[in-house]
Amino acid sequence: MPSMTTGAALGLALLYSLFDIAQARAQAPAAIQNPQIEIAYRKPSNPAFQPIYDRLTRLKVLEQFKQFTAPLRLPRKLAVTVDQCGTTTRPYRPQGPVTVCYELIEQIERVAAKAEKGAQERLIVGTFVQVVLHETAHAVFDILQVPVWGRDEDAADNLAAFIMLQFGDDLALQTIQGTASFFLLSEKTWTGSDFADVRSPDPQRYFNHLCMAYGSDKTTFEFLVKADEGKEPMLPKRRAVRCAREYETFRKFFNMRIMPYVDPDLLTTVRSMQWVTR
Amino acid sequence: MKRSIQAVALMAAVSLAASWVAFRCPPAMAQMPKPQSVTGIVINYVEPTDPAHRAIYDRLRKRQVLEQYKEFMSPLQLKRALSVALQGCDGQVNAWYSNGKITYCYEMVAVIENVVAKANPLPGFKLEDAIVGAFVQILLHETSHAVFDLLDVPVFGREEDAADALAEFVLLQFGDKVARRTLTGTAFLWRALELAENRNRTLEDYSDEHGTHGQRFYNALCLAYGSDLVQGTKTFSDFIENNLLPESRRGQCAKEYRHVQISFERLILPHVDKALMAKVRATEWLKPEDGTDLLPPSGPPDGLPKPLSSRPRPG
Repeated sequence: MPSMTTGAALGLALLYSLFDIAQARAQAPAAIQNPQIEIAYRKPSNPAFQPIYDRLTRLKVLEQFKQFTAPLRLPRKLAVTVDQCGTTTRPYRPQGPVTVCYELIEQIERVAAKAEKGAQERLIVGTFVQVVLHETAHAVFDILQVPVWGRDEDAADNLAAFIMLQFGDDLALQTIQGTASFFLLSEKTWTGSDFADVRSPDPQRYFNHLCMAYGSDKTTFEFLVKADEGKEPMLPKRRAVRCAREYETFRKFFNMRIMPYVDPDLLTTVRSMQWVTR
Repeated sequence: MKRSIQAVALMAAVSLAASWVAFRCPPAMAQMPKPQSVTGIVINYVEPTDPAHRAIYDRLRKRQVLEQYKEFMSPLQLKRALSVALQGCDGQVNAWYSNGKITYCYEMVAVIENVVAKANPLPGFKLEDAIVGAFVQILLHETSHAVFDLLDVPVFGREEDAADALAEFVLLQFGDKVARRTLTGTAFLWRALELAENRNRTLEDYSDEHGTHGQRFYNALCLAYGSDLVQGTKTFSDFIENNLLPESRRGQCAKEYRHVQISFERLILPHVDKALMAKVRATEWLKPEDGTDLLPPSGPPDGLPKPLSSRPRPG
């Protein structure tokens, strides 16, 4: 396992400093938490992950997640764990836990080191949030028996992006841009049997997130469709014109299948709290 | 594009008001005749203006593809009318659904036939199945968009993939002959189109709302293989024997098939007339000669076909 670079270590510290701020600002009553979500930080056997474990537990990242998800009324228990997986993802299985792998957090760090200095912190925070929401989305589809016609991975991305867009402009801008940067900086090229992967290519995931964002708020995300002379906009016009419909359609289906399980009063409370922001 | 939200809301309000009136009416008024249903499929073969499309127009009319489609769709109780037209599209190679209408361009049919005629088939894949399978899948793919819209079906995930999944799931319910011809035919087209790309994709290429042809190829293989696993059939065992479907994907296929099956049972089946469906499933829809009159006279090219695997980029 390669040791963390200085840049990556700095990025990790920034990530955790933002969660520190969020925890201080959140100041939620202890009662506001999701009683059906059981959290666990599994101690890593690889000593390279020990600093990640230490900081996550100190900053109570999963406890904050338990607060954030308080409005979601799950009919049964769901375990959410951080663990050493031997690979970057451990797929969710019915009745099983949602797992965020130390290996993926380390990968986020490594990719962040390639970003411009000013964008590293946003990449780490945004992608981490997306990953936790994406993995939890798989469990939500399963537990709430949400019919998913399209590919599971894209559906989980859509739900994660949708949630990221419901908590104010600051959080939306940070998490969407951070996630988009992560996918854009991916160095994998896709050919042939690579397309058999259940995950969509990173460039597709990049555009899917941008499209959900632009579709949710054309004003806040106007910069996605504007470009300097001679340059192309981040979101091509051909896709941009479809985004409002893509977002509104998703919102309609979210309201049909998931909103019935959301406590509206708790949602108002959670939305009024300050989460991870710049 | 879908019907506007306002129009849908208005129609819902009108029908709700109507049902309320019916509930509240005194017995004499309740015996008034019910209004005529506006459901039903309207078909149209539009005369081509481009002489190059005349042969396609004549062939499809003679085969009565749209009449057959209408009958095939008869068990599905749609709330609103659907029209389907085969027509010339001024050079546009496409088929699409919008606001209650499916448009299928002759240009699309021509491209399918051209691409298939030039492609190397995989072992066990036939050119005539590609002609038929691709045409049918695209028609049912657009029908899926129509169904999602007209029945207000929730779709999580990319709608284009969902439309592929519903179309292919339906084609897997009509016995092994139809399943084999249409699923291998569909996969054949996606593979041929992927190989015909023959250039490095740019970032912008990935911004399309569709998956890549390569993705759609593997999705079709996986759903087909998944149907074998769930239904206990062996229609697509060659996908494994010939290593067309990578090992890393195979383990997902039964689950992928089951997901589509469960979604169909919960969201579409309630709108299906079961007696009509049984009749439709007992009908022979494809003829052995379908697709054969278009094959190049010399037959398929020689040479050992290669599965779609990681290939070196052009220099």
